[in-house]
Amino acid sequence: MDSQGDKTIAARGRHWRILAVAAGALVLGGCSGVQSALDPAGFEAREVATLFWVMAIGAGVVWAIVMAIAVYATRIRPDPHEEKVGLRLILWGGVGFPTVVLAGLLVYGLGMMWTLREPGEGLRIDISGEQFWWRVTYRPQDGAAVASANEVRLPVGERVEFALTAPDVIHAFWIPSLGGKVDMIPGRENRLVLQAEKPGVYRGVCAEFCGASHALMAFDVVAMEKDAFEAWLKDQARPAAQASEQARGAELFLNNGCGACHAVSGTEAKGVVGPDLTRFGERPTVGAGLMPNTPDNVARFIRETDTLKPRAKMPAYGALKPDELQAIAGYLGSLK
Amino acid sequence: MIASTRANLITLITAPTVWAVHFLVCYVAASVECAKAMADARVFTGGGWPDITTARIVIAVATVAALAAIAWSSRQAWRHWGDGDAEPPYDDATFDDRQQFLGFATVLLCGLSFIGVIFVALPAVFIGDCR
Repeated sequence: MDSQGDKTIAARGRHWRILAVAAGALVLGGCSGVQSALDPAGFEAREVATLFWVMAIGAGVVWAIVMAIAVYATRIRPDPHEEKVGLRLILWGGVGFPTVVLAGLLVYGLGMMWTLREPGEGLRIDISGEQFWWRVTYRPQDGAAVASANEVRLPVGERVEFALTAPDVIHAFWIPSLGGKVDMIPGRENRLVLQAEKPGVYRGVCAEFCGASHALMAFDVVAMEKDAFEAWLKDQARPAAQASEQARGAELFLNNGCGACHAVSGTEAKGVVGPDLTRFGERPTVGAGLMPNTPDNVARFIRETDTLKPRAKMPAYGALKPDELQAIAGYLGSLK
Repeated sequence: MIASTRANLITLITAPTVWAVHFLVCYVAASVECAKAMADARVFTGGGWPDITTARIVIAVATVAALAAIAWSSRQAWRHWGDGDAEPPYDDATFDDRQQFLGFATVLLCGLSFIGVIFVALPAVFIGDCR
């Protein structure tokens, strides 16, 4: 009986250990990856992460001191103290200490605010948050504007300016790995300057509830070496490549009216209601960060838009035959 | 802002009122100057952020005035606090208790308001433009 009881207790201990490890992994899992403010890949995010750690550790120290005093006063020496000692504790611990700590934090924070809002170095990217996708326009200092959507590319080591707007409701632009979030408010143009420090692919999100598909409104962020970025941006000026084997998909795309809302430069598709699809094949995801950009996922998105992305303006094209959907998906995937 | 030999609720709230008015003056000065300057600022084309020298001067003057007013109020409150023979915690229904309780509370509020005014003015020391 005893040994059985021991076994039960041992098994229970094991369960708790597994649970603790799983919970720890879940919590620590948020500390890195493509979308973590604790794993900074940009100047602004690094500053904010430093601020976070200073505040977190400082708050921890203050909490420990207060708890230690509470334990001392209730357990170790519960009898009354001298009035003079009490008054001194209130004066220094309750007035002097918080004033000095808060003044220090205020000065530190104000100094940081100043550096975080330095103007950019030339490249400006206009971003418009729309239900439920991102309209992206690159405005290089020399050269014409380039339209894109749901993907932001930027050069590493350069301060890039973002001009943020919204035509419908309030959205918020947030790339946790690169910097803090800024609201996108109809009728206003908010500004944000970000500097990526490590090349890589990150994830941006809408950080202000904006409707049914708010959580399905993300975008890919590609930080590239400066030369590679400049070559890429220059290359955007030419029309998308038109592979002859995708002619049927191109025809279906136009015949089903897709061009009324979507633009593909160099073709008759000139719509501006929905995302520009000129370089769709280059983008990592379909549906604004919804699914990986594969032909099957693209076909599925066109067929089931309304269930995959509730309240999106694009209607579902469920009436298209599977081979037609595949042809359109193949065409879109070839646009590079 | 009432000079009085007797402590009352008005002398009690003098310092916090000065703090509130100072906050309003700083906020309005900075936002009016930046609203005007940003309307035709060319931050994105290399023009830089417009500076706020006028607002900083207004804030400096308002801060000196506010701190002087609070210092004056605390001096008066200090006198009220010493005006009588009551013992802490000043909770009897007598003139001396009332006088010294209000005086002491006003001194504490003056300290708080003094620090508050300095904290409100600090951004103008560190931030010199509309960013």
